[in-house]
Amino acid sequence: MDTFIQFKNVKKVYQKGDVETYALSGVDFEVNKGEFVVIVGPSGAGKTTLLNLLGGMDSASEGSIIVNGSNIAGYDEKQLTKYRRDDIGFVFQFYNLVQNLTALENVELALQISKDPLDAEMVLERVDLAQRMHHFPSQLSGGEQQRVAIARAIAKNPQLLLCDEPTGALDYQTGKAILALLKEMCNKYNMSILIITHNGALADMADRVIHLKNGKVAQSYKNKVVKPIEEIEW
Amino acid sequence: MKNKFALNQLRILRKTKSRFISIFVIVFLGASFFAGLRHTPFIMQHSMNSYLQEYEVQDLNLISTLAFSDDDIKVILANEQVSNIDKGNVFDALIVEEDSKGVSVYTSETFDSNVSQLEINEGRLPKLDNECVMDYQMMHNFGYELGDEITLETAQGSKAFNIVGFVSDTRFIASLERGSNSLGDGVNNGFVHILSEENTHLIYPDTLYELREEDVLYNDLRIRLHGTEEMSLFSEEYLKYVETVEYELNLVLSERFIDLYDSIVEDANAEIDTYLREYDEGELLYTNNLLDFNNEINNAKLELLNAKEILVANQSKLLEAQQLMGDELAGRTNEIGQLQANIKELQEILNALLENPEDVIIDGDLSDEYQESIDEILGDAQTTLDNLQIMLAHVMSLQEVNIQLEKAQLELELAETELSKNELLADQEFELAREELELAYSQITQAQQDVASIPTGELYILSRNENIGIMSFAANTDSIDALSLVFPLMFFLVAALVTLTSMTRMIEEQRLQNGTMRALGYDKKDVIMQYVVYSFFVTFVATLLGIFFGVYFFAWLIYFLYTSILYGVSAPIQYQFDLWICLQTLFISVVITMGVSLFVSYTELKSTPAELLRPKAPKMGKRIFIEKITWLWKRLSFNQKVTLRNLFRYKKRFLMLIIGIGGCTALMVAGFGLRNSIDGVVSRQYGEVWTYDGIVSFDDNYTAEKSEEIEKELLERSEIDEVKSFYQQMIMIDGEETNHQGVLVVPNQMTGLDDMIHLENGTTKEEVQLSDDGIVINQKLSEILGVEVNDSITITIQNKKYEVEVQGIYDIYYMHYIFMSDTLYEELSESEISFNKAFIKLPKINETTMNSIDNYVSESETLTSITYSQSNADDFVKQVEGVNSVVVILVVCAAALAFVVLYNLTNINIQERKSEIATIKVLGFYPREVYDYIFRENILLAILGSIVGCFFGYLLHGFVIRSVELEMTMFVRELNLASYVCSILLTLVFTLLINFAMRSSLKKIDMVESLKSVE
Repeated sequence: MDTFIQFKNVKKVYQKGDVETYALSGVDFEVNKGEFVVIVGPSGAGKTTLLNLLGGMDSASEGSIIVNGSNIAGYDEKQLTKYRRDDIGFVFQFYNLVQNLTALENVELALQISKDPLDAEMVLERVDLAQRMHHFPSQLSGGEQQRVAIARAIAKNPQLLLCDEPTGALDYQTGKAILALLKEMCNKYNMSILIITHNGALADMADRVIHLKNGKVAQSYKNKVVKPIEEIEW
Repeated sequence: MKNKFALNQLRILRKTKSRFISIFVIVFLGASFFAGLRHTPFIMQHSMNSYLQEYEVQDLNLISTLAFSDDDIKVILANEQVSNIDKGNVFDALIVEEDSKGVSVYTSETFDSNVSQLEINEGRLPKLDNECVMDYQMMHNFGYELGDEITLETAQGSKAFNIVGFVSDTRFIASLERGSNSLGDGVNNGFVHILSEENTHLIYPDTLYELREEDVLYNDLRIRLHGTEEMSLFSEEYLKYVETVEYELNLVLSERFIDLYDSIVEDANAEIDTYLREYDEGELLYTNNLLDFNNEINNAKLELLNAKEILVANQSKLLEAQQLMGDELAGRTNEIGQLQANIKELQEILNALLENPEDVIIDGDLSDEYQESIDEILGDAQTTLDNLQIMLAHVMSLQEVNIQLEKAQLELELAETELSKNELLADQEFELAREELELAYSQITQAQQDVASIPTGELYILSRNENIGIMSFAANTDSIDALSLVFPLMFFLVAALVTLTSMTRMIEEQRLQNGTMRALGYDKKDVIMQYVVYSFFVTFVATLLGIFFGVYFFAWLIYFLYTSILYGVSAPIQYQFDLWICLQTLFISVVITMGVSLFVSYTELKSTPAELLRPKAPKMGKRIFIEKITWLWKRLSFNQKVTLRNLFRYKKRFLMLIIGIGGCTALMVAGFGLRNSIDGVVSRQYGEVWTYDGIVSFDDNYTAEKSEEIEKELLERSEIDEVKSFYQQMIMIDGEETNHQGVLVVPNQMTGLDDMIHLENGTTKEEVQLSDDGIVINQKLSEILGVEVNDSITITIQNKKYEVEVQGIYDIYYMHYIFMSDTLYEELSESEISFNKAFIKLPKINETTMNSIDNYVSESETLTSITYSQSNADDFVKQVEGVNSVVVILVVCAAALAFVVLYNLTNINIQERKSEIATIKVLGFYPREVYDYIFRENILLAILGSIVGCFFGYLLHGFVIRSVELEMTMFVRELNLASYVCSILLTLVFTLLINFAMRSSLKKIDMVESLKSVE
């Protein structure tokens, strides 16, 4: 399988006054195309930083991040924006829907800047929101909102879907449903999906699991047996 | 605990810099506008008052047609309130030169008096009787220089004066107002001051001195009252005080003048009566003499006739006698024949004797026979001879009678001649006497008329209210007072909105902190108080600074503009703070912001601490009404839809932006419009109404025929296309409170007038035609007088009042021009119209043609001068240049308003939508697209706001124009398209500038925000 993502000795230093804080102190790992990856670790392990770097929202202080053959660590702001726009889909913990746009419009918001988007309504149908696509976020439940967010991310037709605690704000059942949806999308569109969570239990449903600890990869392995989400309990 | 609270306050202040600045600036602007404009009338009056007090302006000015004597002055001084009198004279004179100029001449006994002193702009005051100082404005207007000699001419004489100085006079503080003149064309160009000594002969006819039996007279007394130096000339107190004294003086003097008049008239009448009596006596004598003379003559004539009658009777008697004599004589012929026969017989006898003497002589004696016959013959002859002798005696006596009669006839003729001669002589004498009597009679009638025309001792007591300059200054300050409510209102409204949004946002941002505090046990009141204290602090400081800035800047600026443009006096500005206005300003701004803060913090923080600790649910998305118009909504791009939704989502913000940006546009529309309105006066008046190119003045008033000859002469010149003579005269129009000065124009027939002047009604846009039924007046005059077509007004032409009907109202912008047809003029004045000026129209205007016409005019005997519309227009433009700075101020204020509002709102918008912005950034929006996403709303609102602003600008402009219009000017009241376009464009430029400046805030937003929880 092709290596899709490759982190090589990636470091991220935050300078606050005289104090240097290493959020990431040399991270190395690889992800293949179409893999469903779960990154787990406790608070402050550097999960979010890693996601920011991979999502092109921040640049690494050191090291290289090769995505689909290009080193995004060397990108300037404009290139990063283009990278985010064309290659990345984001799913946030708090959904980050635009309150003043309906579900459909939220999806369209992302579509209008994509070069090869999927049909918004079709994607919304996929996430089972065909009936509610004209509702505003405040009229939708948390799970529905997260599904809109996923639809928005997927409709861009990205190569990589990054999810930051996608179930963090959801109840158990809904969380599960969302995860199932993500998994399904991953398979359907052959997208690589990276999920950040502090919930170790999710590791079992991943193709690949990366454990972060104190800014370093503590453990990185491929699951031999991928458990379906329905069987995972936490 | 409390000091920690305060510490937190300070930290909040530091952290919320941009919000602090927004509220600060808008309150500052509002306060400075309000305090500045409200102080301005007050400061203007105060400054002008100081100036007028410094030059000890007259409190009262007494003018009398009978003049004042020293006794009269004693009476005035007897009034306890009168402190100083400057005795002098005032009269109208002409400065004799090619184009004679009417001026008011003031004489003073001394220039050191403590009343109405002159401000010397150049040179010095007169020391000699042939020196004068002149109106500073005239130096500017006509280019007089120090050392120039001018000749002043009045009905009483003329005299040359050297100009030794140029001065400003408190009697004429307005640079445009110089009143009218009874001489020349009625225009008063300025004033001249001279010494009274050696100059009074220019003023009064000698008869006045005789009438008044005085050697020294004054017709103009300038009076200063006790205590007025402590009062403001613009105060009610002052006006009341002066009015009281005015009333008292009027009472005393009027009585005196009535007495004086009565005594003068009585004396004169007594004298006339004597003359009249003498005349009557003469008349009687004459009649008697005439009668006697006629009697005598008649008697003489009768006698003569009697004598003639006798003569004729005698003559006829003579004739009879002669006739008898003739008859007798005829009878006597026989006797003569007898005599001859006798002689013959005697001859024969003699012959016989001679022949035969013997026969005859016998004895030596005659024969008896012979003797007998001889004796017989001799006897016969003797008888005959005797008879003849008697006859002869008869004839002789008749002859004598005849001679006597002829002599008598001659005597009679002599007497007759004598009589005619005497009669003729007497007639001549009587004729002379008659003439003398008639002369005497006409002199008496004249004397009676003179008595009737003895001035009734008209007394004019003029106070500050009759000083046109001070009056219009007071009116100007009042109009600013009106403005001082409108402008600041807008700023205060925006200030309230800015505070509202800023405080709301601030409290929302600190929701969690406030919840925590409440949870820690702080009272709701404490939490609310921190915001109230915050807003109080900001407002208080901003207001204080605003008051200072406003007073020093706006008051200075407006005062400067007014005094430099409209008032030719160098009265320095005197800043003063009015505690009441300052408190008002403070109160309004503090109440507004604190009230708003209280309201916002109360509504935001009224919930329980638990609720506060939870993030506030984001505002719900909503469909907007446009979505219901499906055909339109479908056509909009996605971005447009998003923008529209957002616009309507935040109604407070929407409203505030519309008001803020609308206010910005409105200010600029008013500013540009103001300039257009004032600039437009020139282009309208000299381009659209006055379509002629120049006016030539005649050296005299000429009849229609003579004027037409002059017209023909002018037309012969190739530089001149058309000529139309007219009569121009300054007139007064009776107003409700004061009279208004105007210019009467009577064109020489109406044909061809359309090419020179274009009279159009501003409302109907219809041409106004001159008719013989009434006059045509300008719009501004009709407004001042409150008259409409078909109403009547009273005008005074050369001291005679006429009531005329208004037949038309037309638009003109500067001065009141009243048009009347020549027929109507002749009908009114009952005299033949004569013309003194002519409009001319040139085929082209350039240096060469103008020079050639100038030369022609200066060589011509009938023409004195020419003025071109172009140069008049240039003068006006110069005068109103200052308006440009008003425009600049308004644009700057507008910009400030736009910046504050846009900055504040954009800032809040960005803060509130941080997470949304971060999200779209994460989605991969390029910076441009992010800016567009946010700023598109600003631009759309700017467009909407400026459209609304155009409407408010229209109202504001109308209001401002009417407030600043002067008595004699009407500004162009419509707004031009360019003002709107400029204002909208500038508003958009401001918006774009703000958008550009706010980019960095957008850029600063960290995408990582998007991962955090919703605030």
